[in-house]
Amino acid sequence: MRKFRYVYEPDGLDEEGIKIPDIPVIYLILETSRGRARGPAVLDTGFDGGIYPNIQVVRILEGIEPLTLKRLEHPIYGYVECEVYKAKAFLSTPNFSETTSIGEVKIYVPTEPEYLSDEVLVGREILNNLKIELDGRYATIKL
Amino acid sequence: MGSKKISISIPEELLSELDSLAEKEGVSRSRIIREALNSYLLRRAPVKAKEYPTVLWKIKVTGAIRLRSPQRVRKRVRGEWIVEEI
Repeated sequence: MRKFRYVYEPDGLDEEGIKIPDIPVIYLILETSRGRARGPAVLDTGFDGGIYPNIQVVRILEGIEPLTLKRLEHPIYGYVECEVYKAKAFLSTPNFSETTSIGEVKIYVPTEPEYLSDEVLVGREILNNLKIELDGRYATIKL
Repeated sequence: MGSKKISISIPEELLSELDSLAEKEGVSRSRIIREALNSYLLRRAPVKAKEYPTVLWKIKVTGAIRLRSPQRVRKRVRGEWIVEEI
């Protein structure tokens, strides 16, 4: 069994000075025929799909035709129209020295620029297939 | 590409809304009108000119370098995404 452990990202304080709960992240490599993108992704059970990309991830899809168009629920934006693409995904250590394939994932690219964000989200379509332990300090994934 | 001055007529109420928005966002009237016109033309652009992903094509067509939206999530995670060509 392979185990990947990631430290939560701190999220600072709210307007009243109360600490906002830290953010569980994992590190991913996404690969298509056009390129490869790697970086941190936020675990988000509020997102219905697989990967919600930032602009860097969208760039590795340039010129590829989407599989389909789908409306799905984003945790902040609500229902968003997205083009659905496939990419190979690898779980990685934060320094990308070790990786393991997690198979093909679907990337849901919003059709409107205003719905892009700087963060990449990993939604339930992927999370529901992984064995994840969250304890507030570390996110551990066992494969 | 150069720009040209034109004069247009719009209802006073709309002008007042435009001025409020310009003041709130700290941008010029012209900029808002330019962005609105870009969006309008984009919506009416022929589908055959489209490239995928649509969002990249829209950014390219509108010439937007920075995405500006109050709906945009602030960045909370420190690491950067790196893109490599295969």
